[in-house]
Amino acid sequence: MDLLTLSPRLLTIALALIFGTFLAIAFGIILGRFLKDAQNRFASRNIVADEKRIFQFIECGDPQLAKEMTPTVALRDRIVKIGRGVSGELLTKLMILYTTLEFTRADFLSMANGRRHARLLALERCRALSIPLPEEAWPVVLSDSLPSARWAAMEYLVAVKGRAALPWVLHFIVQETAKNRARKGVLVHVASCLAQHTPEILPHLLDHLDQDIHREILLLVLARYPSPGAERMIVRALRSSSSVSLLLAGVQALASHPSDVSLAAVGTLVEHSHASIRLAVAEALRKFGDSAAAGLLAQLAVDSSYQVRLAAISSLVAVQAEEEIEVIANDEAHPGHLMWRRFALSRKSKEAA
Amino acid sequence: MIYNLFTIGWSTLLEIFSIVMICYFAIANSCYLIVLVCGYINARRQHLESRLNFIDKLGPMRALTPISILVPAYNEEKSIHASVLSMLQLDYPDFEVIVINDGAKDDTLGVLIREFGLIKTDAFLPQILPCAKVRAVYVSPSRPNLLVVDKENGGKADALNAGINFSRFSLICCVDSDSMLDSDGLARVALPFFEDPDQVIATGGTIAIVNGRAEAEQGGLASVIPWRPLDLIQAVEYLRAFLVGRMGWDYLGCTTIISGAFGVFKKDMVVKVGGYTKSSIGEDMELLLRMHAYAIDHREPYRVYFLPDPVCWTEAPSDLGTLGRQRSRWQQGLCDSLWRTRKTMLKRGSGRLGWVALPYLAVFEVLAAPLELISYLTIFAGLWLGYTDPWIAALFLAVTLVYGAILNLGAVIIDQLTFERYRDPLDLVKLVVGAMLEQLGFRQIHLYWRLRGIYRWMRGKHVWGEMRRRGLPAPKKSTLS
Repeated sequence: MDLLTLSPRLLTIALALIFGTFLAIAFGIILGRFLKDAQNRFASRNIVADEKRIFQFIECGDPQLAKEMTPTVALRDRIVKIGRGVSGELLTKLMILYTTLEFTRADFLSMANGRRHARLLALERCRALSIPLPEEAWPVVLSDSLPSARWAAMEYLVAVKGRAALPWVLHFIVQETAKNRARKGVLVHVASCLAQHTPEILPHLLDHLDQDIHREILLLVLARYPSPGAERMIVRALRSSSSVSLLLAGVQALASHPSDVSLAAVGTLVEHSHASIRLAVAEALRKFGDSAAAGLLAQLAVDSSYQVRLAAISSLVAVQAEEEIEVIANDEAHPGHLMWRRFALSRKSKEAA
Repeated sequence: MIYNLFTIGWSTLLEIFSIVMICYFAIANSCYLIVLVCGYINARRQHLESRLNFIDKLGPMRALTPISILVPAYNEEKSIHASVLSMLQLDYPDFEVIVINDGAKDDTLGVLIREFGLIKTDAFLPQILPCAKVRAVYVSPSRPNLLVVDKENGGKADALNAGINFSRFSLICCVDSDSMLDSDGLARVALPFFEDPDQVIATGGTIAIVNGRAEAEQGGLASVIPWRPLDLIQAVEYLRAFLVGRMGWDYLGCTTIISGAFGVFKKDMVVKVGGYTKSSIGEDMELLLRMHAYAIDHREPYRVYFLPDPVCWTEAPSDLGTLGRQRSRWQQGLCDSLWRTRKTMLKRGSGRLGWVALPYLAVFEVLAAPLELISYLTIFAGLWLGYTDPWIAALFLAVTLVYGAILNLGAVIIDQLTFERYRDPLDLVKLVVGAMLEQLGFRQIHLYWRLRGIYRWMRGKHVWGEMRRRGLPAPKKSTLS
């Protein structure tokens, strides 16, 4: 028999063997699942008692309780799970318990030397319990190759350091935007975590940033975490660039800081050439709720863009600008007449209900 | 002598043809094996990311972009209430649900009106995308984020276009009316738009089948393998194709389809490409390919994501007739979509999409069905006539059926190494059995359905057929009064 004759046989047998191997692996996994379930049940045999001790420890802080617990994986995961649902002093006590049981040390070792999977899970556990990392550990976790890990680490840092995280956050934003694919939303989120601690500082940073992307991120943060007196700085930031995305962010930020200054600035954008800007203005004006805003909304209610008209009328209904609504209601030829009737009917039904 | 020459010629031709077909299917399955390996790498990374609990931290910020959920419905009276109710209970900061009744002949609209206390309002047609005539628009006083559009029948694509016309938000999520989402499914599938609002144009979640599950639990359904062989085989197929396969293409940056059952799109991008094509039967794939083509032609950086974590539960067909119609439609849709976007194939600048994914689909997904049929006929005819070496026939069966079973088992193993979607050992046994069963009998029936789909595409026949449903289990607990 030559190779040509043998080849089909050999290949067929080879495929059959590969199939057999995969089948064996699959049944191995099934067997492993049985064993894993059994192991989990065995490891969790004391979990009910341990959970009682955890809650007792939280109540009284008695270190003797910690000595009675068996430091298993199940216990570790249970502490982390409880930690995700508590904060403040309770979280601190859990952190103490976690450290007493040597779980913190094990996690630090994993983060320093472990494989990626173990490293990141250790990071997540420490993050959940807000355990402060050693200072030298932060640059390591913040430079992970996995973007999600860097973001999670940054969020962790802000949660632990609070106001002191400001230079870290700024450096992080600059570093991430220097990469080809800056994930703007994530940077806004991280900066927002910081804004919860230091809302008053962020507006002042606007005057010191030279890149539109950085200003845009801060404006989006200010839109969600307003800082009293930030309007003038926001308006200055808007005037520094004609970037559409910056203007959009600025309009959102101004809407969160309703004042005469903000309204004047937003009003200048009512006739902007970009429909998305006019749409943002129509949505933002409902936050102002005075007659000047109603006048601007009436102007947008006859906009060439359907979406802008819809948003303007929705805002008019929301701010109950009765005069302007009456004009639209009485004029069947008005471009927004039918749209108004849809909102009016919903409003009537709500009132009747 | 001439007769001998003739028979020798036929024998050689058959052998050559058999070897070519064996090579073809070996290459096809090997390419898919590469996709599965890529799927494993991607699944492992995504699974790790999902364990980082990033999404849980977004809650306080509530910065996720508002979404308009579009639900086209045609003859869905059995499942529409449960489906819409589950959508209204989604854990997402700001969204609206727009149900488009596409001229249903049953009581779909009646069920919606009764169950949600709808009130008729004026029907006005915003002129963004063309669609069939809108008869009425209904709002719900108790659920201000629910809108029901009643229109004349125009097909799913037409219904989605109507939904886009009525949508208020910049993101649209298209969900089938026979589907249910996990409570945090919308937040998970929208997350890439939050992370990267400038570049992401579409994201899709995993489709899983709910058949066999007796009741839903609050927050979502649990993964349970159904008992029926047909449902069992589909569970394996969904695992291989919808989970691991799509993860593989996503890893390669070549996601060619966001399932019409669960996908989120940037509305302005959808409008730019003209919305859904009414004449297309595979409107979901066709839309995404057009979005790809638009971004490539305009040199706009973009990204499409497939996410394994957010799950959309759907009812898979449970009888051969309905399943056959569905699979024929899918094959027809594939052919149609590839034909419409043929200019992107092998086009300079089209990247891996145009040079890898689209040619793969054309050569190994479309051509595979007719070639497999011809192979069966010629190889086994040759075997019967004594022209074909039995080992050649055995090798052909090995590279098609056995290799196919290997890929199925590979998908099951990958799922267990990553997301562990099925944890009950008995379910795993069922999956392994299903992985082998799929190749024996079902594959051959599926071949017929695929050929029928290709034939219909070539004849220009646009047939949806009746989809028989048992209905979804209603969510157990409602947070709405």
